[in-house]
Amino acid sequence: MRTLGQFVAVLRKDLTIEFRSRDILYPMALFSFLLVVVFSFAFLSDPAKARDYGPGIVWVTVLFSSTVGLNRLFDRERENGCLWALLLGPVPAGAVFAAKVVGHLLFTGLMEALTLPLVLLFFDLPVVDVPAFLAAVALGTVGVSLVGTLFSAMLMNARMKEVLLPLVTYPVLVPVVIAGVKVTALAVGAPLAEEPGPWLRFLAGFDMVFGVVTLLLFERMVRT
Amino acid sequence: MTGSLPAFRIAAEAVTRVIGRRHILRGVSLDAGPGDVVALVGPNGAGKTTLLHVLAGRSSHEDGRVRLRWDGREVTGLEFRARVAFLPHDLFLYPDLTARENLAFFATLHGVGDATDRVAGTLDRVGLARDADRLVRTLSRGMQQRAAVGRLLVTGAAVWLLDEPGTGLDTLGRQWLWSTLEGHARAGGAVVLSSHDPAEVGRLATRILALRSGRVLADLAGGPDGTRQAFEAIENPP
Repeated sequence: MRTLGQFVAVLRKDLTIEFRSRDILYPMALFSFLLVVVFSFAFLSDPAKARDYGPGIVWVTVLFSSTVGLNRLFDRERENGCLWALLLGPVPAGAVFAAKVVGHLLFTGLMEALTLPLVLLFFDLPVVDVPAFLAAVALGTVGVSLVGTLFSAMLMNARMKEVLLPLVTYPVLVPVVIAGVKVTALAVGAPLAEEPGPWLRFLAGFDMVFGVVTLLLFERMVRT
Repeated sequence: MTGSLPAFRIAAEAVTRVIGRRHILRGVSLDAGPGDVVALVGPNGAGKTTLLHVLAGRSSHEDGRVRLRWDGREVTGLEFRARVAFLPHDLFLYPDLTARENLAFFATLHGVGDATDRVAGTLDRVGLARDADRLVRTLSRGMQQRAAVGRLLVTGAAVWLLDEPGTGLDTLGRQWLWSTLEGHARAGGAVVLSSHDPAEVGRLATRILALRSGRVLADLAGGPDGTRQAFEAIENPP
């Protein structure tokens, strides 16, 4: 019960700071909006191809924009050594990690709610299987947040962390992006001889495995 | 800190800290219990800050051990971290939260029940009642230092570890700090602090550890004589 209270306190603290400073939300929203506009201009000349590329654009938008947020996720903990204030307090590291993941999920979810409808609109992607599409975005975003938050914490004090973070995070997230693109393509009616079910189960499995792994590794990574 | 505390003792036993080939601490021991104020003195690079970091659990150590005995048993992990609070140079305060929000946040993490009242009382005690709703970023360094001491007060930890806590405080602020630390020791808490100020050490310390190059040069009782001897020892090493 106390751990839950600590989790809520860390999350509420992060949201308070974010809604005061908007260090994460504004860059994420601006970047994803620009990304969608640039891609749509690049592919609008050929609407048929635009529909083929659309699912990929959805996931590039999710991945790149969430990385913008990940880069800043631990900045506020670095200032004044605040992460150590948490680690040296009677707070399980898992509560801190979970709060960071949920915070990032909320920021990314908000960004997705604003920009993914634009992708669907600009790329003329009619979502015929809404539950599969929403499930893929939700499960994929959880995977991105879990892996990204861990590496973001690990690289918190690294020089050139903005460069390093995608380099270490993206290879781990390739399976998530592949599964996400597949389900999105199926959800918008692409003629593929597959069902979204196995890909969604894969995404759920990825989240479960990496949920445990990242939770176990977080304290060790931030303490070293 | 509320209520009476059980018997406790925090101890560093022959702690050695090595970074690369350099020995930052060489078999340093100290202990502190209820009512103790242990001052660490020494020139820059003597190992004072590292010793505090090791005691707090922020730095690892290659040899020796840090123990906290609480009510007859040894405590570790989350319980250790609930009993020991650390105030380093970097203050551990969120610049984009107000002083009140910072204290309320740390009170919640420490499971303080009546957090709102406790925070209000603490802000009053550290002299920040009027500035409680200003962002920490906008406070002067001295006020930030007061808020950081407020963090120690609000958590209710018994053992306070402070790295040069007088930094940024004016004369009145230092008098306030000294009274606060004395009050904590009188209430049954323990204080371990590093200091370069003979006046601070002379007034507060019940025990003085003089360090140089990671070694204990002298382990002395507090008071004017002990303070003089400790500062002489670090200025004129054998």
